[in-house]
Amino acid sequence: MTTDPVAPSRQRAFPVVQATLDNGLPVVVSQDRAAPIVAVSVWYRVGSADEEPHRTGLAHLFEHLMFEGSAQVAAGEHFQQIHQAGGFNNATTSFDRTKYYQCVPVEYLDLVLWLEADRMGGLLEALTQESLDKQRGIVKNERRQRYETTPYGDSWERLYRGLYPDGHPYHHLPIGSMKDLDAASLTDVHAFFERHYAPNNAVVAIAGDVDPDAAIERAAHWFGGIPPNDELPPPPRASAVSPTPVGPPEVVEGAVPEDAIFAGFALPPSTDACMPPLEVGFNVLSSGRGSAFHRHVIRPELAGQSAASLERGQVGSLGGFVVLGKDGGSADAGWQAMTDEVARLATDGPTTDEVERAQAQWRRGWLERVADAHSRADELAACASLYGDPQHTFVRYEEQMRVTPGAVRDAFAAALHGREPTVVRYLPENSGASVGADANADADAAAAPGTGR
Amino acid sequence: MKAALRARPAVGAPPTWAFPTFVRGRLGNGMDTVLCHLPGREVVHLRMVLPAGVGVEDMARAGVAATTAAALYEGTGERSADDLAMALEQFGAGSSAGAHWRGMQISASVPAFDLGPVLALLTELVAEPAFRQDELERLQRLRLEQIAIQQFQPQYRSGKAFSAAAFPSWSRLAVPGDGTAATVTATMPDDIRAHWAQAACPARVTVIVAGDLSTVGAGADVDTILDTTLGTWRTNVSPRQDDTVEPCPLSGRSMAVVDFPGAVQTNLQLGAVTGKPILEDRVALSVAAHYLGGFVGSRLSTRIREQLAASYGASASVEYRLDNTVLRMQSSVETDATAAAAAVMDQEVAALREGDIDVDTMRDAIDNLARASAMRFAQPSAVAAEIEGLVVEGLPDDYHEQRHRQLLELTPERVAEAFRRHSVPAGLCGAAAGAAASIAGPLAKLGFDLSVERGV
Repeated sequence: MTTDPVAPSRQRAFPVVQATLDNGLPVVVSQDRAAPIVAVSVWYRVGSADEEPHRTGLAHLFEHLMFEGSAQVAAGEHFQQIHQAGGFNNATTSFDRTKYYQCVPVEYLDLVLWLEADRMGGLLEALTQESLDKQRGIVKNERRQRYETTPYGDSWERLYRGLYPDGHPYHHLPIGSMKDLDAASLTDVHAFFERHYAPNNAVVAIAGDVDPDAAIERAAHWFGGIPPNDELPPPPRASAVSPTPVGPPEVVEGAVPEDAIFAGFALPPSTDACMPPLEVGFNVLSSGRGSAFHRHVIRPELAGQSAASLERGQVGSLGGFVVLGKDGGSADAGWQAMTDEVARLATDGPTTDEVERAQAQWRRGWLERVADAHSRADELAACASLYGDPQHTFVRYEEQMRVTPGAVRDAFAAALHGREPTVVRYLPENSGASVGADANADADAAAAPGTGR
Repeated sequence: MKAALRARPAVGAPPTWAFPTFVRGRLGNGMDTVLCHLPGREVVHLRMVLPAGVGVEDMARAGVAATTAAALYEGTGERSADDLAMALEQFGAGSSAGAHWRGMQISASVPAFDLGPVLALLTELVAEPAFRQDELERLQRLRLEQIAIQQFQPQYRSGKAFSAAAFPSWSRLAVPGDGTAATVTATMPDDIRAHWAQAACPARVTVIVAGDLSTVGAGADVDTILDTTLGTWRTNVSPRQDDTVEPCPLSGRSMAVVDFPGAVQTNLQLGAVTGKPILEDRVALSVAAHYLGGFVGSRLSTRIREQLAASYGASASVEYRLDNTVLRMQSSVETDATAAAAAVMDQEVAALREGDIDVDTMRDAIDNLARASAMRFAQPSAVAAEIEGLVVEGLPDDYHEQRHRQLLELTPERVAEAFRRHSVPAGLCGAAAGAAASIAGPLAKLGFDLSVERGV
């Protein structure tokens, strides 16, 4: 085991200690004495981007199976033990990673580490067809609830599908398709575990009322006996598959309240140097009442809703835009106003006040995140997992604070200006507008973003 | 190579924990203060609790309190709405306002070192709200647009129908807290100004500040900052008490079906309304709701999610609306399993009333609530929100100590007793937003008196 204490000069708001166990498992610990609690996040570098063809949704289904028991833990016992301790826990799956987290009174640290180690090393001993079938049913209901019964619920699924071609790691969302969920077998699940779940493909982050050296020693105690996987698959790469050339908007007529445009730009990976100024720029556009969209789209009543988001990913990022019409009217006016704001950032750049506002909001968010044990563990695991360095959280802070209006302008000009987005447009059924007629309107709208007219 | 896994560890004794101490005070203008110092929490959270909440609204103007709260951000005598937003957000403040049953509320999170200037801006916001005619009319249109969008959301429609089923039609509690299209349409700008006049009384306001109060500004302490900001707010309004609101429990077995033709799931909400609980029952009821639907291993989750495999999850809660206790269970279930899920809710409530309890699950529920506080109240926003709850509900300052003691002594039998007092023997009422053609028949067979309304 090697220990790499962080140099004092890099310790900004809080201390971080990291070590790598002999089996390749990185352990990151940050002490916070403010409350007698401890949070543990375990991130695996596997997500829906790693799924095989016709097995979409397997990474997320697998995440559910991680609560169905392991060598020494009964089905459902992981939740039960954490709950009885007064804690909370859960897991989520994204394109690039699957994370498992819990926060408990500090006396339960060993219990949490044991639970996590037992399923990291012994999951397959407990997996059964019955548990697979049960969790398959639950996941299908998750899909029905989140994607199939909510207005615009399938918008991002459609957008990613339009943005990235079949075969691209981000072509499908982590929820997967009903057909592929039905097809997942116990053999698939076993193979997935053996391929991706190993200490040298994970990160354990611990934050809270603990002594860092002791916490690392406890992690080594519980996880140290789990062998590494010497044949880890390489991470998914986008280079082989480019984003789909932008085509005509996908028009969806259905039970939605308003005409709506969901638009997306394929952007560089999260590690690209353009990301900090892009992130500031997206916050200038869409974060808070002082944002450009609130002032220039919502307040003038050009749209019912208007938002922009930057979804950062390891293979590529998505610049997303959403606008809803209002009072049964077209979304075009709002879309045009949003386009104008994007063009302004790409040509004139934001004002200094706009950038300082966005940075102040980001800084508060960061301070709140790192003051919370669960969020701090999550932040450190994210940085260790996605950037290879838990200290990257401090780098991100500095990068955000250094961004200038000119840097935002240059990033927007390079990444968005003059480009067409991929568009999904929703039309309310029985709205009186024919799909064909609105498809023409869509084409106009789709030409607008980023062009600067 | 097989993993060498270690045996299960022994677990230490349950931790001791106490709710953070707070100090009450009063400013020169009569405003109450509650300060809670949380070392190391650099982002301070503050909450102003004002009178004139949803509970005092005229039924015909339902939603006026929420609109009034939102209107506070639409500019002051000195600043436009844009200028006000920009000023607050440049200090890093995240601020919002809203209304609950017993009052209005303004909250903000801000880095401690900028607490002073943000409090100065919030003082301007409450002391000189512009309430411009055009802005108030715009807010009305915005709210109507939001309501139109909500009509397409099964969970919102089900919740709205649940309130209409659970409370008599004359009750303010029968319609959503932020109003309906009809009541929002009927609310004129002068109604908003008049509503604010009921709330703008510093002597009836409490401000709560939680976070690291040792770093709030060079040479200044939080008392001085409050004195020189909110303490300067003066109005001519005399303190008065809110109107008394009667409890209005309604027993019955009605079910409002909101029709979403072809929906693959139903949002099902079932519950009951009873009167205000005594303090001891309040703790027991929180355990009862947790036992029913507060966690993955709860009764509803186990039976509907795990055994029926008909849902992604199920929940239960106890909510206090004025002097009413509202028990509500909820789940989005597969269409074909709607009646089966409703039957499970019926059965679990009946079993708890009768004391037929799953002791292991009940013990988990009690243990969790007794031990969860250290996690729940680790952040300033959660601490401030909890203190706000004490203020608006009139609970004692040592409520958490009392609650913790009661939790440690609570037995399943005691929970069942309290639940019997706060559930309705005639059964549950509720709402189901889903495909009426598929769910109405099976629900009627469970003995519900059905009504059907159009969803989309």
